Parts: sequence; C-alpha cells; structure tokens
Amino acid sequence: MAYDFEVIAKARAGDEEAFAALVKLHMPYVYRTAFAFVHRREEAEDAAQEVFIKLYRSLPQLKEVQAFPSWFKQLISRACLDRLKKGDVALLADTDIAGNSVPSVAEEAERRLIVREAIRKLNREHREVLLLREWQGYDYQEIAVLLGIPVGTVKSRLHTAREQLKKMLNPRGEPEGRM
Amino acid sequence: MMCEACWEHLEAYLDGELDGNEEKAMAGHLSECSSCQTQFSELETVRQDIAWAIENIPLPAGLENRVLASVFSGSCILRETTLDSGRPSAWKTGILLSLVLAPLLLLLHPLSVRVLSLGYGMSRVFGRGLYVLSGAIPPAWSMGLGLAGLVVMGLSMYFIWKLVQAIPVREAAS
Repeated sequence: MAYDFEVIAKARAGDEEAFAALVKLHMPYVYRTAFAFVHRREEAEDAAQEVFIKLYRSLPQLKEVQAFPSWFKQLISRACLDRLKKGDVALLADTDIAGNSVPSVAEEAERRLIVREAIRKLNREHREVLLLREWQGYDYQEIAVLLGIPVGTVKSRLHTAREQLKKMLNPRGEPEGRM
Repeated sequence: MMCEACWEHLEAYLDGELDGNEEKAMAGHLSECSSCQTQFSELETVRQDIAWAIENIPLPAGLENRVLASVFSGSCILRETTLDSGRPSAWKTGILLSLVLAPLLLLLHPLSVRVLSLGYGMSRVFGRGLYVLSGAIPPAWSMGLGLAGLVVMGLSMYFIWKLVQAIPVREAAS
C-alpha cells in the first residue's frame, strides 16, 4: 500500500475531502483483503464500510501520522478476523467471484479463480494465518498476538495451510507455475 | 547443511524469520542443492499466486461512494449531538433549569405542604407496618432477601452503564 502522509494528516484534522481521498486510495486493498478473508461480496463490502467508519472515528486520536500504516493494517485485519469469526463464511459459495470477473485472458482468469477457490476451501484457522502472513505480511510474532495463539501454533498452521494450498493448486504433483 | 535441516527451516527462511547465520547457511545450501531450491521455488510460487489472485479481485462499482455516504451521514449525526451536548445555547439552558426548579417552587404552595404532610403520615404508617412484618420473617430469609436485592441492584447498575456506553454521543466524544 502507498501512503500519503499529508493527506492522512489533513484527514486526521477533520478535512472531509482528504478523508475521501484516503478512502479512494485504500479502498482496493481494504475490499480485496476483506474479500480474501470472507469470500462473499456483501460481507466484504460491509467489512470495508466498517473499516472506514472506524477509521473516521478513531483517526483524530492517532498521535503519530507515521504510525498510520501499521495501525491501519491492524484495523483492517481485526475487522476481517471478526467477520470470519462471526459468520459461517467458509461454507458459502464463491459465486460472486465468478459473477464479477471479466477475464481479459481466459486461462489467467481461470487460474486466479482456482487460487481463490483454494483459499476459500481452507478452514478458518488456516485461512486467517495464511492471509495474515502471505497477503498482509505480518511476522509470526505479530500473527500470534493478533490471534492470541502461541508462535509455534502460527508456524504449524501456516505450514499446514501452505501444504494444503500446494496440493489443491498442484494435485498431480506437477511442477508449479502460472499459465 | 543437510537437506533435512534445510526443509525444516525452509518456510522460516522464506518468511525472513531466521537470524543472520542461519540465513547465510540456508542461502548457501539452496545455491548448491537443486532439490531444495525447487521446494523453495514452490513456496515462493504459492505466495505469488495468492498475491496475484487477490490483487485481481474485481471491485464492486460505486463502493467508494456508498462507503463515503455511510461514513459521513453517520458522523454528521454524531457531530451535531456532540455539539448540542457540549455547548448548549442560553435559552435551552434556561428552559432546562426552569423545568427542574418549577416543581421545587410548587412545593411552597399551602396545598403542596398539606399533601406532603399527609404523605409523611402515611409513610410512617407504612414504615411501621414493614417493621412489624420484617420482625415476623426468619433472619435467614431476610438475609437472603437483602443479598438478592444487592445482586439485582448491582446488575441493574451494570446494565445502565452498558446502555450509557452504547449511546452514540459517547462514541463520538471518546
């Protein structure tokens, strides 16, 4: 994610135009992250909305603008984890992806769908650890704190998630690689 | 480094969780061992696949506007409420004060004094009745009733506190 600290400072001071610019800049990351966690369009939209409402309310309390990136990332992660915990989202069909996707190259789009479908098939514990590490870039210790589990459990869950994903993406044991 | 040791640390190496020496040993082994290098590449590919798949999730049309509308509409109500409660205007304060003080002035009327006196007499009778009744109840029962009363009082105070916390004005102010 790219950050514009001048815009963040203005938004923090109550400038609504700056806040709108902040929403515009970060919406793709927030929505896509939420979708990766919950795999349902309405749920992801609600999560994105929740994230920005919380941001609007709590941004004035942020002391250091430089702390915004990690603070905002945690706000997003916590909202997504809460959604994942609350709803039975893992069992919902992934039809929204297929419905929205307009592939420019059919095979690439199909591959992307396969990867997303594989992430969706992971159970909640494995999906959240995998996304926090591979997509959001948290280290083991940060994930352990976010989820309230030991670092050893983070490692073992991450290992299982990666193994399962590898199997699903490469069921016949063929060499990996994009189409 | 042996391959078994390499496999054990492969994911930690990918995740940047190894210390300097371990990292050097891993890099050295991977540069020499094609089998371990293949496994490492598989892990890297999984990471790239995840990022690539998520980066291409299509965004719903008009999402920004919907979110902004809900953010600003919610906040406007909160801000008005906060301003009202924070700096009440002079006439509002006047009305509120007169509403509170008017019943006190009414108490000075002779009729009010008579009603109060009657109420006092009745409350004495009522209090006496309660006292006699409480004497008839066994001590264990009255102790139990007292404790139950305290618990109910505590619970109701907790719920009132929760209710106050749920009021939007508090959210905006906090």
